[in-house]
Amino acid sequence: MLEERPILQVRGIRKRFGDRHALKGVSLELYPQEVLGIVGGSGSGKTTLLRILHLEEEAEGEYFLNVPGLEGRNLLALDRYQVPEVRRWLAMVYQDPSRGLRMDFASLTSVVEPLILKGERLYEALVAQGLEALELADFPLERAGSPPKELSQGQRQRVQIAKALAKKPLVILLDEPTTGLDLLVQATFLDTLRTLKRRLGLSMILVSHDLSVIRMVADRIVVLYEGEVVEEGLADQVLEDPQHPFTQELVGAKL
Amino acid sequence: MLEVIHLEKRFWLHRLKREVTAFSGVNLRLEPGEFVLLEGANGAGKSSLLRCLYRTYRPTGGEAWLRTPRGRWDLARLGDREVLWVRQNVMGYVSQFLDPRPRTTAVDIVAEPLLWQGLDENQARRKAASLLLDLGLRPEFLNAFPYGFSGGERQKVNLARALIRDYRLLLLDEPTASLDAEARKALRQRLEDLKRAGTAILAVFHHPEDVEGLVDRTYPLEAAEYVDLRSEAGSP
Amino acid sequence: MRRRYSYAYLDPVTKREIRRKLLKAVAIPGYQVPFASREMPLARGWGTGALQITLSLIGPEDTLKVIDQGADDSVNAVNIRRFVAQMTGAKTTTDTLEATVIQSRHRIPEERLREGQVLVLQVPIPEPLRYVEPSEARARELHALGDYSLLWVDLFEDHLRRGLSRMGAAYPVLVHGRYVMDPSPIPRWDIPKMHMAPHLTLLGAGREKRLYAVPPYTRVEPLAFADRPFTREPILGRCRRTGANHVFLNAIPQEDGRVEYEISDQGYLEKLIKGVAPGPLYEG
Repeated sequence: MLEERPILQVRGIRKRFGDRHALKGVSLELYPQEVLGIVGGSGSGKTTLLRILHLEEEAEGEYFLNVPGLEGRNLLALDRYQVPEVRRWLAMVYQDPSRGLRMDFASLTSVVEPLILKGERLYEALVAQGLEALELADFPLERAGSPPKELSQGQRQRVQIAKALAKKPLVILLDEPTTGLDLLVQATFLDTLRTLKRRLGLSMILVSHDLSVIRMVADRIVVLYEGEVVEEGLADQVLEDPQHPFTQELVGAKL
Repeated sequence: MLEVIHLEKRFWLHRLKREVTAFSGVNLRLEPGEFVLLEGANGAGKSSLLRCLYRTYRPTGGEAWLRTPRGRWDLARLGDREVLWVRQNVMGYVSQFLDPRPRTTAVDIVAEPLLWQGLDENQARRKAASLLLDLGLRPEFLNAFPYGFSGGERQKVNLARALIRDYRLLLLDEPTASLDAEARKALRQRLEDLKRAGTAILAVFHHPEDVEGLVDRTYPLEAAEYVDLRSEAGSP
Repeated sequence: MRRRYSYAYLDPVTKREIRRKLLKAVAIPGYQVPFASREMPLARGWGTGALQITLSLIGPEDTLKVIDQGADDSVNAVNIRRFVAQMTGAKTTTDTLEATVIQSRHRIPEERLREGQVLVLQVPIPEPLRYVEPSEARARELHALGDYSLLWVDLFEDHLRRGLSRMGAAYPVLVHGRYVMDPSPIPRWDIPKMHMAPHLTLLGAGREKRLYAVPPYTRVEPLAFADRPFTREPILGRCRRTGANHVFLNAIPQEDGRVEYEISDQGYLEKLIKGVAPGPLYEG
């Protein structure tokens, strides 16, 4: 078949919060240049899963990234001082922009922060790379100096995208990125993601409860229900030929 | 090129606790350059068959062997990543439902498959524009967003996107619904060219006269169980 | 008559503790070493940290200079000098070149210090990350990781908004290429004096209970983008008594609203006035 190795792989992810089993053995794979949509209702564990992928939560199981230096190493077994080294391959776009951005600093400053972390020490180079990333994210450059607190929600999410792009990560993780966006803004935003995927060959994992969002960007879909993967497959397939009762409910409810 | 053996598709609708058979026992062969027309009453499963081959539906029985540059693969059992590859490189599909992309222009939508192929952006857009104009799209619509188009205009964009590449296998599901006569003629011409280049075509046409002279064979599908799948399975 | 205090006021246990911690500080340039800071006959915030350092090092053969913002004759400097002399029998001086130990608040003298001299700086708050990371535990982690990106981000924002860094005193510096330290509230003018200096610098924060050090001939580099280099303050006037403007001046606001200037390093000022040849200065 196709000789392809996933760039990201998790196996048997289990997570408990006290007595509550948030994730009960989740496995999935992400391949290069694809968008994987993770869909589920509240309580499905999808956001927890994303946080685990970003190494913000501990969990049982195995997590591999196919990058030089980290092959074969279970990232869930790393100690906290090794986490920053792994995070440089990941970028996260939060549902709430204030978690990913400095709301009072210029937007450009938030965008260049990962570059500073990587060690860039030339001011002009930082500015140039930051503006380039904002442009890729379809952000109006004349507002690069405005702090996110003065921007619309859609613009804030674009700043987050720019920050993720500046990092040139292996995988971009997105947690309900279109929350609070009205439909047209949402569609434009998702279109930007799609274009970026094609132009830059990005790989992304997008979490959403909203099927229309997933539909616009995802190549493959994983359906989570109460902490377990109940269905997975090609995006159009899961949406038009749902097998699992929960997926059928989800798709039916959407219409 | 394509060999379908005893293919069947059944749906299990959990809420209704019903099983519905879209089609079963389909056997057909398609050689390069052959045009096979699917026939049958509404609900006989023609669309479902095409969707199964495109893998929008998962076949529940049988095999569908496709010859690709990388080998002979059974579409019914193929892995998701391989299916994506096949869709990008081997097999095209047109139905009446355009992907909702409100902020991409008609030209860009049509150019996209070429960009995946690695063509440079300007070349891709030029080819896309030329095909759209052939199909009769008004020039001022080239750089507009299809979201606001009429049904016929949207369908032209839809079609162009599938016709832009020389797929080895083309699946067409009522591609001429809502097209004007000029566009139908342009489509026919394009299909003729593709046939000659070796593309195998499996299609459903509401008006078979649109493709008169192109059809090599017909394949009749019998209604297994008439049911309006759309309202029950929840698909659009 | 029974002696009421140990030599140099500190009991032997305390002296040992402080010396050990100083050795550790010297071994890890720029790293803040926690220490058991004792009560001093001086209010917290008035130099108790530096005083403990001075007392644990000084001996009867030493000569001590104490300055406060450059002045030998401020109340605070005078009290500390008198106290140390009483407790140790050490000689005292206002001449930078004669001193073996110089305890200072907020200035480094203008005359270049030599090998063998010890500069002890008073530090109010030692943590350079305090404005960008309020959690002490997290700040320690950042030091451990060598992650000073928060400071760089701050610096970037300054340049973006104001075209320059707005930090005045206590400009953060990278020591020996590893730890960022707060050099104490010395003006930017004094920062370059620390880089590869022949003398030993010790810094003490009594209230915060931290000691740190810059050994001789150690790199001390202010945080700055490579294409936006660190600059010192411009000298805005001339000394009203000597006309000099090649060293740091204190600004003295006058009643009529004008500002007059005077050389901040009092010992150096006095040499100029008396016509005594001063020692070599740091390169400009």
